[in-house]
Amino acid sequence: MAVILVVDDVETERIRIAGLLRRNANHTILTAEDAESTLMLMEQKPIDLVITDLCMPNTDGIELIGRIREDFPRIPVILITGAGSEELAVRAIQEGATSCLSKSSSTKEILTTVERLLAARAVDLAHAELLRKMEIDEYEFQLPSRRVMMSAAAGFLRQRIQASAICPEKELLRLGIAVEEALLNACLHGNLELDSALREDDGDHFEELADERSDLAPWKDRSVHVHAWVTQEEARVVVRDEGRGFDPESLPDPTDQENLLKPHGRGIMIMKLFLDEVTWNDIGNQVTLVKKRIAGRMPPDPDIQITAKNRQLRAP
Amino acid sequence: MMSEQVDWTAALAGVNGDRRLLRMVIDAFLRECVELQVKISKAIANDDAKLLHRCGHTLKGTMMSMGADAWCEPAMELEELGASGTTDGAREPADRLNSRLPLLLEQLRTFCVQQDD
Repeated sequence: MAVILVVDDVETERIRIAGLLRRNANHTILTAEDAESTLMLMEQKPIDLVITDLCMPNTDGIELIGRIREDFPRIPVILITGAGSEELAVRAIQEGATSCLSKSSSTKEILTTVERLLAARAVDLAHAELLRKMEIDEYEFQLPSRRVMMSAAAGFLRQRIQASAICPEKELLRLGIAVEEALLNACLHGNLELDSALREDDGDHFEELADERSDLAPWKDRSVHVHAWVTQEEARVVVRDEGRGFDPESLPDPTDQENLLKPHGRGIMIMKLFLDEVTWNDIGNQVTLVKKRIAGRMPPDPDIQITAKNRQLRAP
Repeated sequence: MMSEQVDWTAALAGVNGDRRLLRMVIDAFLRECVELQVKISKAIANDDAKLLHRCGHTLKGTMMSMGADAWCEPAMELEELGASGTTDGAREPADRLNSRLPLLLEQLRTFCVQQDD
């Protein structure tokens, strides 16, 4: 049995919609008459579905939908609107309403829509629960030294970390960038032995060499090895290249503002800024990045740890 | 002009044929209708087009969902005036609404009495 919240400032409509649901569906029906009490109620009670009117005083339905989407992104919202509000209904859908109904919709249409969205939510919740119960989500790749593959792998890993819900959404983009930096370093500096100094002019030579070496032995035969896993406590990405390695100590201090805009070592700076630990193996062809959970900052599924290993940062 | 009779078939369709629910909806409408009439008067007196729009919209919507389409016209005019940002010319449809509403309310009250019997 689900909990459905009906929001309408007009008592007549609130009673009608809530009454239809109470009499024809086996769910708990709650009502609210404005956006403020809706959000307050959603904070206090587990709501599975919201049905809201469009035109309400103070905070209207569109604004309410936006706030629900922001604060309760997994809860579906049905916008229910009267004749003459079609344009606003389109805006509401753009704002995040899951579905839209007319106030003159038949009971069957209302019930069908409600049950369809509740079924989708049940699947969504089960999927989230499944991910929470997952002990380990593990991947291994052996990638050719092509930049597009590094970007693809970084995007894939970012999606897996996002799905595991161990990292706050706002950190995902930066996380993906940090992982991509590790992968690109392994590909370009490790396997293709390209020196960052080549980028300090116009960068054309660097790009030409990258393209050229991707198709030439011995560089083209080298792979980037990725081992990544996500557990309930952390996400890790290990990146190893087949280059000669490097001494991380030899890089300019990437946290020094003076070096901020220099291409040399910038990838390391990004990784150090976005993750909590950055470590290399003895020969420097493997890097490990770790981002730890920020205690108390991520309500239900806090922690995040990311480890990326291994990269070669410059050609010898 | 449409016949000033509530379309009970439409009204019952709006509540899936549930007379008890319709009775509850009508009770709420009888309360809200008076409030909306007062608000419409205030909106016109205070030149509050936004309030006029909202009240016209609400009244139109609730009347339609109760099979009272015959009474919607003045409410719709008020809604449109309000939507265009003015209350100029609102007095006439408001008066028309006020003069015609008693017939609607009487029919609705009769329905409620019949349900109580």
